[in-house]
Amino acid sequence: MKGVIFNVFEDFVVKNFGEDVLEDIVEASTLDTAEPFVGPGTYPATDLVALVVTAADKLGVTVDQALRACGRHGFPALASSVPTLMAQFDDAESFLLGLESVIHTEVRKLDADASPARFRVEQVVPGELLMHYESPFGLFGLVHGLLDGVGDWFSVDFTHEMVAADGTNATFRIRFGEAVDGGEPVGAVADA
Amino acid sequence: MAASRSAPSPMPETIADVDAADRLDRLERRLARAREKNAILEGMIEDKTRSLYLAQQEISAKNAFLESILRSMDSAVFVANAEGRIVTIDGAMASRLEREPDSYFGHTLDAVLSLPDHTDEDHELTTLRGLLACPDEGTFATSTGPIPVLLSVSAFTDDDGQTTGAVCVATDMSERKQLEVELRHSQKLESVGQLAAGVAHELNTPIQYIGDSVHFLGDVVTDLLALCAAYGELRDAARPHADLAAVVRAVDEAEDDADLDFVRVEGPSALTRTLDGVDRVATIVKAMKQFAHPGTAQHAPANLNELVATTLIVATNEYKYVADVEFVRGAIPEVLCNQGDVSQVVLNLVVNAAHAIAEKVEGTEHRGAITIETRDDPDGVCLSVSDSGMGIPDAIRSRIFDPFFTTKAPGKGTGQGLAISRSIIVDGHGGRLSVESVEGEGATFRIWLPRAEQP
Ligand code: HEM
Ligand SMILES: Nc1ncnc2c1ncn2[C@@H]1O[C@H](COP(=O)(O)OP(=O)(O)OP(=O)(O)O)[C@@H](O)[C@H]1O
Ligand SMILES: [Mg+2]
Repeated sequence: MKGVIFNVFEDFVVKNFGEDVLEDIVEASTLDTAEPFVGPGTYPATDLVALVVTAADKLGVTVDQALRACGRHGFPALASSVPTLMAQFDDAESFLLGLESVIHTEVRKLDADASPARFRVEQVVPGELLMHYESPFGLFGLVHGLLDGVGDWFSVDFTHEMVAADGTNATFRIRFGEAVDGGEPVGAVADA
Repeated sequence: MAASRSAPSPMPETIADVDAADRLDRLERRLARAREKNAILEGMIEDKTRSLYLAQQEISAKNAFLESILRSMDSAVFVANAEGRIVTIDGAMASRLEREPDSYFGHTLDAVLSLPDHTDEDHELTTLRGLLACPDEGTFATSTGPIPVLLSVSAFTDDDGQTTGAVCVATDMSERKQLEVELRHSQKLESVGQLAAGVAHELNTPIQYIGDSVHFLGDVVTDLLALCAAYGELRDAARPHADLAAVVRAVDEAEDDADLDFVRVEGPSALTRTLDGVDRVATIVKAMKQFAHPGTAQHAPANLNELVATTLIVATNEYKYVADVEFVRGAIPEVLCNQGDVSQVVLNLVVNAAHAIAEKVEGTEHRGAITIETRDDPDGVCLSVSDSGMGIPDAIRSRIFDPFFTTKAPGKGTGQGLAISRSIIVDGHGGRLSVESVEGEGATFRIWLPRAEQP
């Protein structure tokens, strides 16, 4: 896992709970990595999981909730790191349709060590997308959080729910432009 | 915890001390972590800088390599964008454009290329689609006029397979076209040559015995006229004898009938004319044989400068009234040739030049100029004959080497000079012959002959 993702996590903790809390979380986690995480570095994904588990425990939330909050917090940082790519998209729907073919593809090109999640995105009917998430890590909460971040970024309301999961893969349904009915309210995030 | 930071602590000294030590410890760890982070990042930046530098080196080397390939391509390479507009021009031929290559950027390809007249509308050069469908031959506008080019256009596509432009390579075909024309010529010459060889062979024997017989008849006529003269004296001696009067009268009448006086005067000159005619026919037959088999036999090293000088003396009468001749002798090695044949070629070229000048200056006070030049050239030893005559109209340029093609009045030209010259140079010597002309201003004929010794 790339250091940027670790940094997103660290930044999330520091901004919301302070440096000391981060220090405690790092201290309390059993990590394979001894040195600090830097953006361009590559580290075992298990270290991220260990950090998130400790954080969730310390903050009294579920791991999923922690990942989700972290994803939402981190999206602007990720988006700002690729301004020219972001400029190609006018709205959340076209952005999500291009997430795999443009964003993650470019990420892979820029860094041979990066292996971001794979998404197959299909438009079922206008205003509705199915995103098939394929990853060895099953970071469903992170996907939800990043999707929240996309909504914030484009200032648009859409709902997203996980409609199927198979091991570490899952399918998310995204609906644009209709009243929220029973799905999770947009922006309901378990952060502080 | 936060309380310990803000106000003096009411707590026991020892706890405050522990708390402070704990905080200090944390701060130290954070500092150490930050320092380490810095060091790692610095190391990474150094690494990246180095590999960036190397990559940059590699890219500029590759770039230089590609550019040198493009530069050395004896073509013009155009890249057109999705609208069919020129975005780059490369290749050696780019320097032959009428204007600076940059000035064509943004224009469609019809600014530099044109297609044959019969090309249909789907193949125009003004759109990318038309360009991709264009035929493989066209014309390229150079600063010295249009030249024929071979066109090869290929589309280029982006990662999604969308056609986003085209690469068009235009390759100079003038030399190839010239070779095609020469090939057609030599094929034509070959068949004419075979015909000529046959005819010459058939004519050779009869012309020989006609000549011999006419010579014989000439002798006979001379002898008979001498005999007649003797008989005349006998008749005159017999005239006073009355008994011979009848015979003398009969002889007088026979002499009148035969118009002997006329025969005496005209007979010998008729024979001379006949012999002249036979000689001419024999010369033509010889030329035809020559034409059919330009002698490959007696090839020997020769000094082309000497050869030209001698030929110019022979030709003096042909040009002296109309032109001044300048001979620029180059430093040239010896050529391997049949001297007689090559002299004939030089003579043909000089006579043609003189005729072209005569036609131009006729009725004026002006004189023309003929410049003959020899030089050593990668293709062999080159001889050029330039004149300031009336030039060769484009319309007949491709035909002047055809046997019997002439624009001259009957009796003045047979149209064989250049056909024979070509045959001598190309077939007889494995050389080359070319012509350039600006109508109204003159013409330059060039021949290349093999060196006697390879350098
Ligand atoms: C401009 C926006 C984005 C950028 C620049 C970006 C870039 C990245 C990078 C660098 C990684 C780390 C790869 C690695 O560690 O090898 C990553 C991982 C990931 N990305 Fe993105 N990403 C973006 C948007 C999104 C969005 C909108 C989603 C979800 C809807 C998403 C889902 C994920 C997930 C789930 C991972 C974790 C790896 C995994 O689960 O296999 N990303 N991304
Ligand atoms: N230097 C020249 N300038 C202009 N036209 C030329 C020149 N040389 C040749 N030509 C043209 O090419 C034609 C063919 O030339 P070529 O020498 O084969 O025949 P010719 O001169 O007409 O007759 P011949 O040489 O057999 O007496 C000429 O009639 C003339 O029209
Ligand atoms: Mg001639």
